[in-house]
Amino acid sequence: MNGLVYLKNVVTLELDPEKCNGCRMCIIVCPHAVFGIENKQAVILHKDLCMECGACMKNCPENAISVRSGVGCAAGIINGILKGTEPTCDCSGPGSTCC
Amino acid sequence: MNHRKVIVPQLGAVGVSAHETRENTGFHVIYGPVRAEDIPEFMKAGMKATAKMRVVSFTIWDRLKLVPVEMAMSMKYLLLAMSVFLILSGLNSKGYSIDLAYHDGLRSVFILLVAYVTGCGITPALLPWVPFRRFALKGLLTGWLAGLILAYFQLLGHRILEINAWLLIMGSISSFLSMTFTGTSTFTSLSGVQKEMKTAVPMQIIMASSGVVTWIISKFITI
Repeated sequence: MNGLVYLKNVVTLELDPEKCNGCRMCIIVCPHAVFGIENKQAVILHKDLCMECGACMKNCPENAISVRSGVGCAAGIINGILKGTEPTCDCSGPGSTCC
Repeated sequence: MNHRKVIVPQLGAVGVSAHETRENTGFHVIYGPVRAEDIPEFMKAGMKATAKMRVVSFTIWDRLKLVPVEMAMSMKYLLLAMSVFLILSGLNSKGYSIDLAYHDGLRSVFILLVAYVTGCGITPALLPWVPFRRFALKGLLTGWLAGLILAYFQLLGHRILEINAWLLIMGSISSFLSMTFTGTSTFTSLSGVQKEMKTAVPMQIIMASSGVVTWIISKFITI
């Protein structure tokens, strides 16, 4: 990842190896190559590279993955605090000027 | 139609559940590559993406393309700050001087512009090479370096109080703008940004407000 790694030990990604059936969907959808396969089962190889997008959780047919997904965006977090919502980068809302 | 396959861009997976799509519609979701330019190769390989096609990159060129977006988003705040500083620059111990507002004011506008370009442009461009993982700290560092360069050329004024005021202001502006680049970057997580903001935002508020107060005081006393 050419030196682009964010904070250590903050990511909420969890994988339950008991539930994993080794279908590899998490490996396919993850844009940061966080997962790998060992003994026909998914493993988290690079947890600190996770950006909590939630694609793996949404595409895991066995519900073996959990992550508190959301936007890693300071303006989005400020937006959420101001509007009293979850952090959002949604620009489609009326009057919103965020990213 | 004689097939039940649908190709979805890989980054669409945050909003698409392949197994639910299959259960509810019978369509088999195939995730394509991250970048559209890889589609021909992906198709040629029989709808198989290589490991490289599956990973998001964030090259210096990718980052530079996004700098104008960052600049446009905070432009109106920059113009507002510039106007306020331009007007306040005329203050002095004898009252108000239009001449001073012009000379010191234009210098203030230039300093603010440098802090803005540093936070919106320099930090993103040099992102992997600026020390620290927290974007707010990266921005504080680049902001202070820019400030020291200006101070070297005596553009932050001649008095200790004013120079310190500008370093506080420049550091806070560059730190905040660099921190907002977390939304543009491709590798920051919600948990990480929240952790960073818990300390960064109070620091930026304290630096900016004490900087502005110090700057106003420096107009009236000659230290």
